[in-house]
Amino acid sequence: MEKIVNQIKMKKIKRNLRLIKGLVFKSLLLALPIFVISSCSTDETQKVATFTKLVMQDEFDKDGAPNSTIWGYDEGTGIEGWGNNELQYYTKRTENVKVENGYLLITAQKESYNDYSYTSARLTTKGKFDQAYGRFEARIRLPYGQGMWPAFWLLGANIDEVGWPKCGEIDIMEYRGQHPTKVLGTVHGPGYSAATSISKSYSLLNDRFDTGFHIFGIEWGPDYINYYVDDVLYNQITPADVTGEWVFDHPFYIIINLAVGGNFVGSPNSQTVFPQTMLVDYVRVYQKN
Amino acid sequence: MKQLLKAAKGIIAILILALSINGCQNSENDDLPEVIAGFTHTINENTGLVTFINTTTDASKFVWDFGDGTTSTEINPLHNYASGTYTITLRAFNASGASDTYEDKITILRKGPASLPINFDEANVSYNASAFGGAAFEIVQNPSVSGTNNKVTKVGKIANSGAVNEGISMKLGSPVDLTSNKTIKMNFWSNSTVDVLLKLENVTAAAVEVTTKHNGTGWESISFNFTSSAKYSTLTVFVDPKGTKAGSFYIDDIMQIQTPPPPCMEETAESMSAANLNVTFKTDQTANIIKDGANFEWVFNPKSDTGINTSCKAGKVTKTGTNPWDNIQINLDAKLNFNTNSGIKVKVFSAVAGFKVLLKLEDKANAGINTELELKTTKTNEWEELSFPFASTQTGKYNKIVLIFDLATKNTNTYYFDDMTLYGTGGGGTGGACVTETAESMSAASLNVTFKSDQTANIIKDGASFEYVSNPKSDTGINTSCKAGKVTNLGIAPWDNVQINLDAKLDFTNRSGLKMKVYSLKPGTKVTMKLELIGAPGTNSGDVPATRTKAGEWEELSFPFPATASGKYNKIVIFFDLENKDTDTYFFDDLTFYGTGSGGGGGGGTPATGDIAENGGFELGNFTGWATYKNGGVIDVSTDSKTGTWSAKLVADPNGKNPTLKQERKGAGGIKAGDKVKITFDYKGALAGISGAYSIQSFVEAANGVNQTVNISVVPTNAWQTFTQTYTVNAGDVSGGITLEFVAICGGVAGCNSTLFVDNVSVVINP
Repeated sequence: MEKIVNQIKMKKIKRNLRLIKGLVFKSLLLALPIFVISSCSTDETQKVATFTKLVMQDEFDKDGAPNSTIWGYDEGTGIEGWGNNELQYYTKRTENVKVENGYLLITAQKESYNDYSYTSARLTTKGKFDQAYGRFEARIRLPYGQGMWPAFWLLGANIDEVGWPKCGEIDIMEYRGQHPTKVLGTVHGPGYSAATSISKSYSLLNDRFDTGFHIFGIEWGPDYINYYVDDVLYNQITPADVTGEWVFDHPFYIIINLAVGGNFVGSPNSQTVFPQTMLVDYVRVYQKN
Repeated sequence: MKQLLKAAKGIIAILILALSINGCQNSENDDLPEVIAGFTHTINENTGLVTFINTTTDASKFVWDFGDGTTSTEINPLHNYASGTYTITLRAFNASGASDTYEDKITILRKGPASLPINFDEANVSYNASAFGGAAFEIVQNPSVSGTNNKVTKVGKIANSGAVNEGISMKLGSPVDLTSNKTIKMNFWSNSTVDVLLKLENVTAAAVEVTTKHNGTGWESISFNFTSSAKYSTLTVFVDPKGTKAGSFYIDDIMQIQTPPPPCMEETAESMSAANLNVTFKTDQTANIIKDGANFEWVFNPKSDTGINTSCKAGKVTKTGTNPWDNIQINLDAKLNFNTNSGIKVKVFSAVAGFKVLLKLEDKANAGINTELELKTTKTNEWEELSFPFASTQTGKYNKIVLIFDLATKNTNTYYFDDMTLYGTGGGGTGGACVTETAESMSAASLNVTFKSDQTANIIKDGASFEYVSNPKSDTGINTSCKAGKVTNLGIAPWDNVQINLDAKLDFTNRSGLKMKVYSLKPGTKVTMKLELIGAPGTNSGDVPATRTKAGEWEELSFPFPATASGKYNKIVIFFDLENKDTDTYFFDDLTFYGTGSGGGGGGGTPATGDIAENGGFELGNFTGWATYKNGGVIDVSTDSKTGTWSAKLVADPNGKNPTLKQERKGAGGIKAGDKVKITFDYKGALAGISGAYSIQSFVEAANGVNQTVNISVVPTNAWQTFTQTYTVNAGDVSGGITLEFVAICGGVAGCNSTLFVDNVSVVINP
């Protein structure tokens, strides 16, 4: 355990040192790292968000199973592949989900399991953490290949009472493995769900989402949801944009999953490489100051 | 600590670098970004394949040291490991040659496929059960540490969706071999009663499956008993195979065990002694069983759950195929007594259909002294009790039991036996030793009313009751068959009677009449027979009476009918004591034709010729053909013979005994006045005391009673002598044939003994 802790520290220290580099020499001050961190009031790459009161974070610093006080699991296959004819069987086995070397790894495996051909994992904070409004952000490196469908999204915590889509759904990031340069941000609600949901994509130029980490986030207030990737704000959705009731004024919980196949992405093909792993560096939630 | 120091060194290096480039006023774009090495990984525990995921930033070249002596320069390498712990080092370089190093230690525990026993707890085993049909399977912590599984360990969870034919299946690393251990046992959890089906499959043999009920009390140990001896590589479990029960069930500790014996009753008694033989196999008697071509094992009862033998243990006999008569033997401590026992019964079991069991009794000292009975079984894979009756004459002769299964065939079959015991109360009591009837006919053409089977339905009760009963005196006398008819007059009228309707009219052409054996304790009454035409009682033969001369003994009575009675009558009416209105009880048996013609007319039938004695040399080893009346003495076959193997031995001792041996009413209906009768026999003997005596007589018998008596005087000594005498049959009723009687007498004065040996008896008519 000592070694693991040390590695985490090293990783964080190095990251901080990168920040220092620019600052130190401008001030000609050999500042202590602790001072530098405190002086860094916003995320190193995030310039489009303004909410800074950190209320929940998981840096995935402890090897093993994810922190059970934050994360639970949706297991199995749901009804009709979670409503999307998805092909995977979700488990919480180490083969599908673990924390290793500072990252959360959600891995899609091609294997025969409970009559299904693929396994993966779906983590949720349902019943453990939910919040209305705020800044929800994760730093993720995505998998690649036909049929990979990772997502970082929110569901209305009242889903069990009012059902979907009345509970509301905010998809912070969805992605098709066969289109590694493009992600989508979407909201679903009553009258604007599934095919009629309100959605916008964001594409990288000269880069891909599967070769490095990127920050996916929203900043969500009473009458708007701002979507950003890294330091680029690419969409804002307001009550005027939705073709039905605005259902985004109550607490939502977080889901992170890696689906295989399904209506959105199509099935994997012979070119799809397995296993495929989605790496999550951190998940953070802020409130307005 | 090493990692911390390394980090600290990195900080220092950066600071030095920062200082050495003397400020950083240039745009950051001019600097190559800092290389930060890092990686993570996923591990396939089945194959040992590690997928490295490179998380290094701002590097262009990578050098991996996998820690097992191999290296790579790929960005995201795959590497196969054997089980073990490895330190992996990634050194990442940028274009200017700056580098960073990241190090991680991983432990590979390659999982092998699961094989029985399966407890879901072994770190190096992959319990990859695949669920199908809607069910789901996962490994979880024991949710209910209780019952037969009170361990805090991992178990398998089977979640039924409520579909038919859902279950889980496991491919086994090494197949289940059912050659010897045929039971799969497991802990299984359910909170409701449910059937669990275990199916074993492989590619070459037919699948086998067994369903066991779970009682729904949480963790229970349940077992699946297979009969196959094949090997199976896939193990499949269906919970509620025929139903659609949804819910969670748990499975653990799947193991192969020796098939436990089914529930059985412990034997409570056992005796290998001749006096109270009771071979129950309470203990291992292997040492006391002589293996003569057949192997013997002390085993669990192959079928103790149902049937007539639920005791735990039995004897298993496997013929070796050496000889048809492969057998096992039991030596006894003394000779068997059939005066107080009626025979030997034994329970037998085999998968062989219709097998035969031969029980042979022998004298250990002389295998030539033996007797045997063979019975055929009627049940397969079920216990069946066979009774081997032995007459009291077999007492004191045998101290060895030989058991032969399917004597006629040389085979290697397996048979079981158990509970070999003496039964009945023997001579003098009811249910004594008897000879099972072999023939029976209720048809007019071949009438032979032996009561082999229950004829109650065919007996018309006219003022008398009829019962199908055991012979009241089967141990001695002229009727040792097992069954007889019992008639009790109801006292309604003197003519209380029973009747037998026949399928055709009786034919007395070449027959002398009807005879039957009668027994009653009441002395001196008459038995009257009348033949009638069914539906026309006026058409009848008239009454034909016969007088009884014995009480408490069977006697044979003859009812002569002339040839002119043929074709008229199809009903037989039997009156016991027609003369009186009474409620007495009579027994009758062996109602059949006798003679060769002209009965009732007084002689003239087909003449008897030659030796009419039966088994006169006793070479059958028994008294077939003879009537024996022990009268307290001993009548036995003996190997002290004049010729051949056997003779007859009569012993009267002490006083008051007079054992009597008879060739009785031989040639009945075939003797006529003037016939010469030549009596010949060998004899020896000894007398002691005043009352020791012999009586040897020949009689010419009338239909009822004696017509002529011939006294034979001999003086037996220790040496064999031969007696010969010829006499002429007098006029009169001679239809009852010739009797020759030997009696050893120890009379009224105490202190006597009379022993008489007889051999080679012949009664030759018109020599």
